[in-house]
Amino acid sequence: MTVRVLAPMRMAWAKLLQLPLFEALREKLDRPVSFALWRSWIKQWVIQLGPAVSGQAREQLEVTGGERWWKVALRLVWMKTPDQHTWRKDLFRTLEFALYSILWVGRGILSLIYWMFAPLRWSMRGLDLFAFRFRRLPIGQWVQTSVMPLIAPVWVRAVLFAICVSVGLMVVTTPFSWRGQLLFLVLCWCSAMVIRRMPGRYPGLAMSTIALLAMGRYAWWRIENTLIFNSSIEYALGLGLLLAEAYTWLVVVLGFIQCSWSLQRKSAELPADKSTWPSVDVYIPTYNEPMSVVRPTVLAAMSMDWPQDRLRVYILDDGRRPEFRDFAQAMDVGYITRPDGRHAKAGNLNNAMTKTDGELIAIFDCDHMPVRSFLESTVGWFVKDERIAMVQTPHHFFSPDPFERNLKTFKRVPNEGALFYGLIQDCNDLWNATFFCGSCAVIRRKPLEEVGGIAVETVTEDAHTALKLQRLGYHTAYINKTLAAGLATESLSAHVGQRIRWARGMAQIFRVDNPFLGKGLNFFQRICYANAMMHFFFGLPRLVFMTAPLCYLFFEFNIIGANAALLALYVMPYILQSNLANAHVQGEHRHTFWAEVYETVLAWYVALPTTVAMINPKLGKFNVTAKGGLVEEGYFDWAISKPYIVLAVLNFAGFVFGLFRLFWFNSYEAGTVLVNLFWAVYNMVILGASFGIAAESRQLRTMHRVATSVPAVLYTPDGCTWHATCMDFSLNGIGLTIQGIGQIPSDTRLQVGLWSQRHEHVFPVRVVNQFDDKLGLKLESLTKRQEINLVQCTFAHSGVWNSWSDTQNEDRPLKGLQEITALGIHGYRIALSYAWDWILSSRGLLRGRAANGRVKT
Amino acid sequence: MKVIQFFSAWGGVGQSTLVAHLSATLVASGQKVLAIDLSCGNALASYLSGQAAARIKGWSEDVLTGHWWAASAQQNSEGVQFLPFGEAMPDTEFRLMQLISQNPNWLKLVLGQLDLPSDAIVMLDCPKWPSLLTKQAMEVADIQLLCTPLGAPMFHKTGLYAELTQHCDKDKLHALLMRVSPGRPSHAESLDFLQELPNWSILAQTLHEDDGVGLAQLHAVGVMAAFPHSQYAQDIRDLSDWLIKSLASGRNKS
Repeated sequence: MTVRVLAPMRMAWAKLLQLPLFEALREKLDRPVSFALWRSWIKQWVIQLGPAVSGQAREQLEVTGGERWWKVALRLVWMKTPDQHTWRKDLFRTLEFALYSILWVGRGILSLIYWMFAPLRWSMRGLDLFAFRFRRLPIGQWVQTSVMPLIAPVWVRAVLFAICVSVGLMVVTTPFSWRGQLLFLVLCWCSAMVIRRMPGRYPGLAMSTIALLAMGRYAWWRIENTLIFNSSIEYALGLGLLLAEAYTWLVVVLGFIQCSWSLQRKSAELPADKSTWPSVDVYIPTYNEPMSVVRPTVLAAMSMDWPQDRLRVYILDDGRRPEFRDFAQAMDVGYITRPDGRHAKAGNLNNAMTKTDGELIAIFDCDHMPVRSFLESTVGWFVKDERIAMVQTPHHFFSPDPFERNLKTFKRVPNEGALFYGLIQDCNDLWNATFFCGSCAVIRRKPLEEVGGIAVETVTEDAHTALKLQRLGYHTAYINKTLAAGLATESLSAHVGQRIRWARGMAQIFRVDNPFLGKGLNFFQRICYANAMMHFFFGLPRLVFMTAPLCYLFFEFNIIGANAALLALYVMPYILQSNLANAHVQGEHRHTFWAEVYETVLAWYVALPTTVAMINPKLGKFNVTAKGGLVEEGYFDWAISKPYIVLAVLNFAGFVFGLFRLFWFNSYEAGTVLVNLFWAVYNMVILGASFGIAAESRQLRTMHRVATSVPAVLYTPDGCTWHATCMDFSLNGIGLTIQGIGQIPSDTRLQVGLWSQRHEHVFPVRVVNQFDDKLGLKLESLTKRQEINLVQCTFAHSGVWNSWSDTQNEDRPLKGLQEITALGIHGYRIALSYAWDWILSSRGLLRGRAANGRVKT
Repeated sequence: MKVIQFFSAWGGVGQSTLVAHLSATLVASGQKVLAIDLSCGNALASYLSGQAAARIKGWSEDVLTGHWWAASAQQNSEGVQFLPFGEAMPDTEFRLMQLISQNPNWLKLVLGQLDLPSDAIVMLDCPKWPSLLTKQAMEVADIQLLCTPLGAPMFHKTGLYAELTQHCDKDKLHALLMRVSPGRPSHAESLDFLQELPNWSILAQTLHEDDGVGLAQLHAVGVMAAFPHSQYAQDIRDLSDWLIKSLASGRNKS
């Protein structure tokens, strides 16, 4: 009986799986790579589940014990299996079909949403058209000729300012009904959409102002209307959330003042008479970094364009290594050590100051190679302006940081530091509040001696030193031109360690030498310094936001005493406008939503140190940032992602709870549930991206290759020359493209010519590989002179870093959201697959893989 | 009419080869070019026409016999117009100098007689310095390129530049480094030395030593056609770009 029923069913099922519709569907859905990944994941899961569940499965599959797992997988999926095991295939097919169906429905929903938003897109297009028409009007000219003279007198400006502020306050404090607030939202959005298409830098200011007003309205309403709680626990939690929000408001307001206008300072010309140029000591502090990292830096520093009698390079070796002493001697550079390691880098620099006497001190971290023109571009300001005590240039990294490497965003999405060095420092410069960042900077010795050398009270000695200099009335300057480049931290744990230090140090300064207090600073300098320090308090608020929706989803605590729809109406203009303004003003330096990722990863780790430092600034020690290492095997950093795992699990549980609330328990207040659900999903996405970062991917090269495109010459042994383009370089090898050269046998010895300014240098190389016209060359052993020349032709070549950001994608907020979502999903998948490996390996089923170190706990 | 003068104080630096290739490249990029060989080796015409030097008639004979001096002008298959020096007898140079020394502006005069469009470029392949014709060419040239070898030959004439600037406009005179082989220590060292010398204006563009040049000439073809991807070909292209740019801007500084 059963056989008679089941057999036709099986047949029908098999038919269904081969239906043309299904095939078409399959073809349609097979395209996206992400889908293929999901599918293979399921495949792997189904296939490995079998053996995991039943120990006899191995025998059934005729798999011998020593066989590699992937061979088994291949056999199961792609090769023919013995007939009696078709059930396994069927199971896979069924699951696959289910997956297709789910995805198909999902796509349907997505396209529905897509069409739901059609009116929005149409209106955006309409506003754009309007903006372009508007743009043609000579408004700027009209303002210049008619309005500017009217507001020239100071009193007019003061009155105007007062009027604007009072109007702003009125906008912020006037209560609206929900219709009014909706209208406010729409008006703000429409004006921002038009303003953002206007040329120049004023539109950014206007958009920031609108965002500020929207935020003000929200903040006012939030404080006025939403602090109604039913119980004392809700009161406490609600107040916590409000404090966290208040922190963000404060940072937004301070940031608005800090970043209103960037100075974009140019290099100052040096006097023609070289004998009047100041003498420069170059300090390269090192502690435990390998020679391979320090060596090129020293070579690059030595070959900076500067009168040789006024340039002296010193290696400040706190490791007191004989190898470094010999190297210094061989290169004829100074070598300074000290008996103790007190105050780490700051102490090291201070010790060196007592032993040298240059007028200026250039400081480079031991992996920051300056370009030749570094001094010529920076020192001009010291000559031009007597009051300038420090000139800072950006820190640039030519290797991917853990975010860029693990999320594969290198050179595509601006990295974490891009916002600070691309925009914030440039804006600080307007208010004469550029910070010293520890490296790639020049300091005048005299003022530095006046403040007692590099500050040693905190672990971020650099910012503190700048603060001290400015309190004495000295000026600082920033030149936003990449004049040095170095290695990024190679692993997430090292990166986190470095940021913990920064956060702790900034909190320490805030505590022991608060920029709001004390003498010597003007209002704006206080704001710039304070905001830089307050930025690092993001840890606790961020954790609050990560857990806030759970209060409702788990316990039904209402920590915002407001109607969900009204809350949305007030929050939306704030979020929308600040994102629009940010994308407009800083989109080039930070893509929308990326701050969330960068901060979430660090939140847990900086929360405690900053709090501790506020209570007792003496606790905590200086940790050296590890650089120049290599992640040899990919692994998942479980240790560092523990906090995110807890948060993600909590948010997921909250989400599931919320679904029950939505459909059963709290279906009467669907709006509130939905808001919290949305919030939890958003948290989960961002946390997912953090997982992606914790999955450390393997690094292939010990020396990072820098992509470039500069002319080169290839000399073949027959006396012929070939015009080539150097596509990438490192200190080990060179990649060239050459047209029409034909196949060169590997290991052939050749010579390559590269230019440093106008001087061509030739280096002996060996052919490693060749793909058509692309030639991979390994450098043969070089003489000292050649080594210096190589650094000059590559890392120290002026302008080598200039076109770095050209490959970056444009910031498009909606695209960004999409990308972050994809990264979040990817993060979960990767975390789950590592977890799965771990489970299997703990059962001894994946011995081969575990031994390879793929699973690391 | 713009005049570019190529000369050297050394032999065998590849000056005529350069003029031939440069003329062809300039023509290929749409310029009107007349290359005139002023040195009695008749090498330029040989490179441009692909024939043996001895068989090509040139202006020296026409001038000495009182004919129209540009009667032997030719055009090659690449569209380069050139005026050969012509086959030289042992006394040709002596007689010519006798004639020319009577008129310090002789070259200016005869160049003025040519009916050339205003945007034409005249390339003068001059005899080895010191020479009367080279000196006269200096007075008419808009750009003077001193073809300089590296290594020992250059080393012995470091005072040359100062000597030359007494005869010509300093802003128009550039040293063009020829047959550069930066891998050779003697070249690297003399280049360092040269760049430290005051007053020498050295062109950023250089010409690399390349065996392909000789090989191409053996087969009577241009390097640009035979080895288009060689560095020498690239150097010629760079130099041609620089010439066009500096002639257009009127500034001759590199």
